[in-house]
Amino acid sequence: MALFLGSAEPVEVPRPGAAHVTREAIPRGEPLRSPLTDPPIVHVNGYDRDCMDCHMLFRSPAPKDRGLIQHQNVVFQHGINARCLECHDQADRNRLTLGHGETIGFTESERLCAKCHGTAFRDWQAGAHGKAVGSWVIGSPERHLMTCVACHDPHHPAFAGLTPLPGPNTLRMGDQSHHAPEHESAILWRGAHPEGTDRAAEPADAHAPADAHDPAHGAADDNASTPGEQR
Amino acid sequence: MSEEQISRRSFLRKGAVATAGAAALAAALSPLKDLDTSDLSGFFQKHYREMSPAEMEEALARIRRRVEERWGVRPDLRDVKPKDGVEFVYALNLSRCIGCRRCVHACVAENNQGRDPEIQYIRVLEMPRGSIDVERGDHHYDRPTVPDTDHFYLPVQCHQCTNPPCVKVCPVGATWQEADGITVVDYDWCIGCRYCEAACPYWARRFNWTAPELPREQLNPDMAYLSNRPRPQGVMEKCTFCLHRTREGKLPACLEACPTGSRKFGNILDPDSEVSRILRTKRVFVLKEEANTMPRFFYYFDERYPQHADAGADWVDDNSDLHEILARVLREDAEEMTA
Repeated sequence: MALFLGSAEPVEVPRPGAAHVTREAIPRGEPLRSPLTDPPIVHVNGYDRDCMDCHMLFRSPAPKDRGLIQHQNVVFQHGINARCLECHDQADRNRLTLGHGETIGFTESERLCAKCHGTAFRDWQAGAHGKAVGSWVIGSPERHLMTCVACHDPHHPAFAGLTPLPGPNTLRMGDQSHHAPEHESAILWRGAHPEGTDRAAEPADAHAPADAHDPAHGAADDNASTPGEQR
Repeated sequence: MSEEQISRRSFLRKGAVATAGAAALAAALSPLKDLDTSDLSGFFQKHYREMSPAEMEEALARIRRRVEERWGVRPDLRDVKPKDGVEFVYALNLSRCIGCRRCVHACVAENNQGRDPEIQYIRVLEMPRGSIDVERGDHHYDRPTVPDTDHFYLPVQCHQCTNPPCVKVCPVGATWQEADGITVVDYDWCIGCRYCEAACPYWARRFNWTAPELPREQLNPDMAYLSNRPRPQGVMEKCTFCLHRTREGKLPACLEACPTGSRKFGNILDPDSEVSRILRTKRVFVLKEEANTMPRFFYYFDERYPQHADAGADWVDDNSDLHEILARVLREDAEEMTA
């Protein structure tokens, strides 16, 4: 049995330089983007408008291969699907088209995605593609599948890369920045404590690049992972 | 009777030895002066599995008091029991994991680990494409953006093995596997010998080398006795599949944080759950299968969607149908030939 030897002195926050990511930095269970409502409402010049407010006034010419002129905020890169009217209904811009005259609202957009991405849709319905949040209990009211557009931008569905959060604290290995300075992460993290602690292996400035790969430092730059590095 | 004359040298030598012995004893016992003797009820606490509900309530009250004293936050601390008819399984889609480590830090935010050094239950290995050999993984990768196209990413945490080596080697029985499959640690029973850490083939176990430092604003007050209550120095800890959440129907923190949806969790005893479907239809594998630990954590590559059209109402053909289909085809062929 071990006693809970709680310390009586106040707890300090981690020292600067220690790996430290706040809870707010990691959104949990939230969609990556906010899909449009049905009908979609946009705020233009101080007024809330839906799509037909403009498209009723300005009738589109016959569809041609041309770039977007008005919708400047849209980056359109959807593979071979390069035509706006594949998805957007020409007559009623507040609706999406399934083809053959059938239209659906913006909140049912996964039916449209399923027209081409049927296998992904099938996987999504079973939970193997995409993300279900709230509960693991099938049939629970808390559980819901995130829709396609909660993650994918329908105009640019491919994802950009993310910056990785800090990895294991390489406390005893000191400052790691000499290993790959060109891979410096946008989150500046050095892993080692500043000088003056009894746990820092060596002060950061003791590592000259020439010394970095001598045997005393181990093979930390290779792809070998040795369990016990956290000791 | 002759008096024994003790020589001065002998007297002084014995005196010096006795003094040195006493000094050594005092030095050895000196940590006891820091002992908190205001509440010794923890000494008499039984093993978790032997505690009556009243004793458990006492223990919870004691821990709540300690947390309030130290952090000034009143926790929602409870003892969450496993649900019947539930066995948890975790599946991870390696075609979707991009190695962003949001799972690692969501776990740290949820489970009240010590922050100095920051204990992380999940370790993401950056593996070269074409190899499943974890010795070739690198967990120190630090790129400007992930994923890197020459690598895939393999997050590793406690697999809650069905045949756990850590449970076998514990000399005091401080760790055991519960009915829903989660391997747990009684932090007040653990002696900190670290045999379990040595026995685990996946390096899932973590040890508290120092008294855990945890800033007050990072404390998660939603706690359970067996999972994320603050641990003392000198005990082992590990991923518990967030049992304070999952035993109440919620999802683990790592799954909720994953931006690509590569983590799947559920009840394997429910045939309609995500994980049941994945285990039936995807090519799942486990790490270090030869160690015979039989993990509950399955990895799979979602190579491309299946090329066979689904024949029935269910999602995809199970392999179980193949035998029937084959038998029927052979029977029909035989009938044709004899007709």
